[in-house]
Amino acid sequence: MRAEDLLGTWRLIGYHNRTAEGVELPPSFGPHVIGVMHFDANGRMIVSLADGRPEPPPAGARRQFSAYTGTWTIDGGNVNVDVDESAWAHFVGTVQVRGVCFKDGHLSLIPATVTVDGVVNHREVVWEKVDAR
Amino acid sequence: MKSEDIIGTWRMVGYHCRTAEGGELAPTYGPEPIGLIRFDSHGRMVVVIADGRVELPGDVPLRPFTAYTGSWTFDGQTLTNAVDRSFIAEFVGTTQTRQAKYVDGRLSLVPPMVVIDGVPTYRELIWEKI
Repeated sequence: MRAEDLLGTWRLIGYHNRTAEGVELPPSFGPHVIGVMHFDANGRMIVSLADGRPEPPPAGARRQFSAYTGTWTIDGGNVNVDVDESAWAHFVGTVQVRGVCFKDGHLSLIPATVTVDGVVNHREVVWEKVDAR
Repeated sequence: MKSEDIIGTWRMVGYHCRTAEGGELAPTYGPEPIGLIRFDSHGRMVVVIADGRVELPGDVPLRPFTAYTGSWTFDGQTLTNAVDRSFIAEFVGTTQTRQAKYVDGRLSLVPPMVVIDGVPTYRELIWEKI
């Protein structure tokens, strides 16, 4: 993978949570996600994604939302983002590592697994490039 | 402009802060802002804007940044966002309004005037559809 492959603006088209066997689990950002991401040539990036369903989430649930900015670098098959500001305070000062995979013309970013209600979730965040600049 | 014109993904190409007379002031997100908005056809939107400089000067200790999501409507002149999640906690539950118009093929969004360090500041955000 080349850094040039990531440059530009991306639109979120899928967010999947799956078991290790590939069985779909409830998606972290709901059934209808909305998101945008940009990697620039100076090494800066921004991303924002949210539960995009028109109606409020089920009772008691808060609409899921994430956004951050940072410096990005390529390390083998990963993109590393050194986060310096974020809607999630606990992200600030961390390095977020995402596995990178290109398939069917789309970009898949793979975060670390997360355990939800005792179940190990393997996540895949799928993006479509909308502009190469 | 119609609501259909708003739908899509927009990249920020300018962020201006000006006096009432049009004099340029220090821009909120620095001289190299980066920003994106997406308005979907279901009436939902996300936006993220940041100071895009690689290195911040010493007098900018925290990187200027904002992001929020909400529902959106457009009446032909005013873009209205009912914010339900935001980087800025005070935004949540508010209705944000932006005067919207096309200028030279780009989208100009003008928030209400804000006073910064005692100076009435008129902001204009310029976006290019991609």
